[in-house]
Amino acid sequence: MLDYLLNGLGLGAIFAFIALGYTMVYGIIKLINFAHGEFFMVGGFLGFFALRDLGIERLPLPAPLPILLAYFCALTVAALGSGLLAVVTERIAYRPVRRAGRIAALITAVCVSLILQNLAIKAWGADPKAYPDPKVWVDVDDLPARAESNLYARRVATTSTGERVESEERVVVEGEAIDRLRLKSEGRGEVYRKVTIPRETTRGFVILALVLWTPVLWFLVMRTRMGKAMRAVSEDLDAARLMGIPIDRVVAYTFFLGAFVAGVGGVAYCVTYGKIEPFTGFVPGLKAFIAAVIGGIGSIPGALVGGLLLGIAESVVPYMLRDWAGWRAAFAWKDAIAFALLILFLLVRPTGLFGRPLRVKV
Amino acid sequence: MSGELLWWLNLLVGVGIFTLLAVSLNLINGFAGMFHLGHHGFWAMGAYAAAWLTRECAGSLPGPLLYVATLGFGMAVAAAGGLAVGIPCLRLRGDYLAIATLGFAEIVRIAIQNLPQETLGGSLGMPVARVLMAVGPDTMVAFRGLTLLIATAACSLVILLIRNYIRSAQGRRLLAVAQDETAASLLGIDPTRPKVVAFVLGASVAGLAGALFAHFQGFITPLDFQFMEMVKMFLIVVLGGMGSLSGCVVGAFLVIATEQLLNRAPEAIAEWWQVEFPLLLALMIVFRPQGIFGRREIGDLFRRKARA
Amino acid sequence: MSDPLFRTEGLTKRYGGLTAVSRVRLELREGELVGLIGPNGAGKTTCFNLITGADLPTEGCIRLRGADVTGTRPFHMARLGVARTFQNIRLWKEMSVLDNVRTVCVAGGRSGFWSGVLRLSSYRIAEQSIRERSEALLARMGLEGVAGERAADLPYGDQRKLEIARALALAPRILLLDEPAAGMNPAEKADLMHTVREIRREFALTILLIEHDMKFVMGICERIYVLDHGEEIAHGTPDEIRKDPKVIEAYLGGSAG
Repeated sequence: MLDYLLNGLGLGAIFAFIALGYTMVYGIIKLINFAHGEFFMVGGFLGFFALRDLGIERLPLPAPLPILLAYFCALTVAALGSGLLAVVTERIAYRPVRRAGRIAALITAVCVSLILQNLAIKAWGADPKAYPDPKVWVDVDDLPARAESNLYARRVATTSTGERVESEERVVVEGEAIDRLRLKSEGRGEVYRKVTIPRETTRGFVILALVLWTPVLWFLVMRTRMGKAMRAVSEDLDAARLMGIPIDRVVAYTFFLGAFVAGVGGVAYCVTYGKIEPFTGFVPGLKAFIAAVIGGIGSIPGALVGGLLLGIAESVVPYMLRDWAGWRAAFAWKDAIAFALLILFLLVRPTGLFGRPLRVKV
Repeated sequence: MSGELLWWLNLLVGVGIFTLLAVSLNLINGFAGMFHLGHHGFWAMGAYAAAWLTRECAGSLPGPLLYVATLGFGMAVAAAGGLAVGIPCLRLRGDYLAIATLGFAEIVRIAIQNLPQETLGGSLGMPVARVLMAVGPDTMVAFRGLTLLIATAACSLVILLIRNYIRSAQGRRLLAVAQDETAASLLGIDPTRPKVVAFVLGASVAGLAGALFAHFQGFITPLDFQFMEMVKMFLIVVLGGMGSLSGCVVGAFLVIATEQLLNRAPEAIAEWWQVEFPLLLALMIVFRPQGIFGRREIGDLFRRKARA
Repeated sequence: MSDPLFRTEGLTKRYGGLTAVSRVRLELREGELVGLIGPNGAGKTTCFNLITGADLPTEGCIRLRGADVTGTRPFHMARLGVARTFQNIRLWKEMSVLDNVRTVCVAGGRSGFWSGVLRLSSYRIAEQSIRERSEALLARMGLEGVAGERAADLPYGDQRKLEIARALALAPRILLLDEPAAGMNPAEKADLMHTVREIRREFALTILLIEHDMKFVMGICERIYVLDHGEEIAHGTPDEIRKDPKVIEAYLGGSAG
């Protein structure tokens, strides 16, 4: 049970990261950015390419520095890339619609979401890709006599159509004696072994990231000028404009910030579940939105609490249903359970935990 | 020749089914003003209900009778779904209602996929026995023609029904609640009742469309009822005009025809249809949010003044 | 002395730390025309909201013919015979003028779903009577010429008159008018004063109205309540109110001497 709880906390931290983006954007321009899940997905892809192609882990630094640097790089690339995508999307798709009314803006958001998903399919293929495990590169000369684990080398081949295809090849099996001369004669100067990151580490990292990020976010929102501008705009957009606050810049900043953290969440999610595909963003995006709603959409603490609660609920409730109530298939239905919880929650508390109750002005 | 005819019949039946979906969606979104993103869930419920009943009762009832019975059953199941979702969700505000209904449709999809294989076929799908008539290579034209006839009759009846409803006293109350719920309630109109009625009515028509779809296809899978179909329905409604029933017919024809024609188009365009459709919808909503007809009906084109 | 038709006792509404209305006591006798005035923000519209059920009082109670109706939901309150117009016009803008009134009329006969859809004769008879009543109400307010127009297309003064016609369609016992003369020119206001007196007589109404135009209020109201900062500071006939120093101070911010 404790394990499920901790898993839920880790998952919840990821949801919280994504939910922050939803809630901040909604607070500012009262728009549910359906495409936010896609920012998350693009972050995951950028991280994928960073991990696979940048080769940071090859840097001649003492372990485990190369791996840490590789992930740090991936996170940065993902976060910045997502942020940039969000700013561009806002500029071309959302700003023109800002005056057109809520329904129009919402429909546009749905469309952007679908367009991004399908562009991703076109660019990167619809099939899921395995997220790269970090590699520890070793020079063949430094290898011991007997292999302590499987060793791999990179193989580049050209297909009949002239495409370059990279693949990996296991050249030494664990426990085998290593023939350095043979390896060298085959042109393999370097080999690597793979390291799998244990679930607990990713979990711990995400939770730690959230804990570290929260005071940073608090500072950004409460103490910086931009943060104050954000809060002003979310209270009353017209008044803020009249006071000379540059609305367009504040909105762009908000989108960037929201997507930035979503990108981080994306990489974390993909490392946890080991794969990425263009549809990766849809369900977590929806769930993060649920989390934002539960917390009270527009409220930053709400997004954090909502995300954590939803993550825990998604882990623990199916567990309870399976082990205590005897519903063996509970985990297959966990998404449906999450949605049902949402609907039930909205009935009891239509504006969320921290949301401001709607007052009807007559 | 026969191939062309078959293609056209297929297209027109598709138009009929999506017209039903569009007018019912329009009732809920356009007339009742409720932002509903889960209509494909009702569609799926109707389709699977019909498929299930067909399988359970095949042989015990004469074919055409069973066919009609499944249509009714599909409507009833979807209506029950509408009641189950509508009543609790009615006091939710626009954005929240959208996400709640979307969640509902997801629940339906997950339920269909995860129920034991024997019940609803799971991810693999469920065959629907041909009970209307025997279908083979030489009777395909007749089958499609007959289905088209049934679909046309259904569309006509439904459009007439909804039109009469909107113009009736109850319909006026619905429109008033949609435009200003607070004012309506303060003037003695129960705000929830018209909305529930509209929602259930819309759901049952979607269920009818689902049943027709199931029988026409002969085989249904959860993939037939994905969110993209919801986008298609929405596009049709927006294109035709959110306050117009005849707009739904025109919109359905345009969208379905475009989709089918894209299948025959050169690779370059056809490949990208899943990007083009949403793009089209987004452009429409920005530049011509009232669609083709706005709030008018096709009859109004022949009259000078638009109906108030 | 019979029980007043309508009464509030100790009516109070607090929003968080802000007290909008505090221990307000209003009383309406059958057939009266009473005014509710006060500077901006005094809590007048809040009182209306509490009375009609749009908002829940924090404390106090509301009695209709002696029965406690505090907390009744708005549409029940309306069915009990309390109708209102709105400070910010809340017509159903997309609907026609006639439809705005027709929608509120409650049919005597069957107006169920199927009888409406199938246009059964019971439905058509009910519709006919609704149409006649609505047209009569429009004529009463001088709007028969624009019956087919979209409500949003009407000039401002006509929209306010339509609001009144719509409220009358409810066949209420008590009519609450929220700034009915706002935005009207003097000629329209004089016309409205006449109309209000007439409809009170014709429909046997009891009327409570909020207004800022002193001439209007003094001209037609028999009694006046004055609110300031949510509290009742004066109550009496127009003459008494005119001379009340507390009222003068509330409006002018200082004694006039």
